[in-house]
Amino acid sequence: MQTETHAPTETQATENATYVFRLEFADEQRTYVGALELWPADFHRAIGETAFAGFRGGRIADFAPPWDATRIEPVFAEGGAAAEASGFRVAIGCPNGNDVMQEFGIGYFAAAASRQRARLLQQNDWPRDKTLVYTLAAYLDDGRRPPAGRNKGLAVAAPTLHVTVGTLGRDELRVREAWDAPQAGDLPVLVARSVIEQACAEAGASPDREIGGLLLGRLLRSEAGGVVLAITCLVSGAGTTDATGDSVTLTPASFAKAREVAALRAAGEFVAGWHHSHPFKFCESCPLPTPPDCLAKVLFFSADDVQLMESTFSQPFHVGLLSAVEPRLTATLGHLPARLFGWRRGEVVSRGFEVASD
Amino acid sequence: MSATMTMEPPRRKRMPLVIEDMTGQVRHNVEADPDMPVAQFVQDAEVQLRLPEIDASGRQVRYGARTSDGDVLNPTDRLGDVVRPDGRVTLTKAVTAGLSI
Repeated sequence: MQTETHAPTETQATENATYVFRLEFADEQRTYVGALELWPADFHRAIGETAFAGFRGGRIADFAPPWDATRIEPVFAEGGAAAEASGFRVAIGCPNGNDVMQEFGIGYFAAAASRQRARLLQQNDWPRDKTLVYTLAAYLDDGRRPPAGRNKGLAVAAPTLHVTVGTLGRDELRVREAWDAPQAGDLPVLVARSVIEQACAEAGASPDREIGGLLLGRLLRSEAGGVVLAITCLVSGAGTTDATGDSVTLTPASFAKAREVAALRAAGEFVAGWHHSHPFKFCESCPLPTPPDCLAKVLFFSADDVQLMESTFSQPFHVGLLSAVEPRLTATLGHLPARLFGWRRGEVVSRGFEVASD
Repeated sequence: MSATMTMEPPRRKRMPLVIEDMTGQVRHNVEADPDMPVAQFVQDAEVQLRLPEIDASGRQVRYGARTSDGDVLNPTDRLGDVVRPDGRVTLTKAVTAGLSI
């Protein structure tokens, strides 16, 4: 690992400079406890999301993220240490010179930071209740690379994405109802009502343990030119998952089953996300309408859930559907006890969507 | 004066394959030594693709491999015996949602 530091100065930090990035970890008193060098692959999610934004907006013809040919630039923190970045910027070159650019904040690395904290806990180097602070640092690239050669038996080329974008039929998924205030800038997501009903019914049938499954869907370009994600099928994880009262494990068999179902349905669907349930309840005395704090204790994505999104559902259109069994949720939410999570600027957020009649 | 003849070590045989993730959406063309055991192939892929070795709770992530037909590849099998050239290998893992530490 490169440990020598080269803090950029104003004269060095030119437009064409390339940088190496590290996550640097410290305690709350800013005492340094270690660093994690970031590789190009660590920025693939951001490149994919930026390429997808360009594709949705019609500035990039095909959704084929240039994962190994994209500029990553630091956004330096005002008033921070010389190398401290508040985030980074992805710039994808376009033929007309009008680059597609997006900025990502430090929260992009939340899952990597969670893993680092777990590592420190495992090594007994970190008290469980102590906060681990992480910052992003960018240094001018001196061209040195870690020695290759460990993998003489395997040569790996850059990744490619294999997702088909279809066309939204004029009469398809027309009757819709907005849930949880969809935001204008987000990818519009249409979820078939039957999918949500099935997710809530499966959760309700297992009130003492989490359940999970996979979502099938299609990316569709509408007549107006925009792109939408339609979630059209929930493949139950029954028989392929391991579950407890506060966790559920999707196994390779869960994915194999979902892909088999997609092939059998022959509707152009692919694995577009996942579902799991939270069998948690409000306390008896919880008032109606439910206070936001109590709501957040049931309908939330944990660090494990975010990790799962990052490691397995990292494409910008992937979503996670969460359902719950608490009966008072329906009155508070005004709809079935379910919430959708997805990617926004590299972070997993709760997001609005539309429910479509099947 | 004497001449020294140097012999290049024999070049490793390479076999073209495609590695895909469990969704089938992200694929890498790879060239692999057909003599390597499946376990080594998976471990090398894990390193080169920068796949996390633990999750947010510190649980070890164990990777495996399946063929495009869904058959599980045995870690001790010789790669060239169980996968055809240009075949597709799915890198698999179990993923857990839940309450992390």
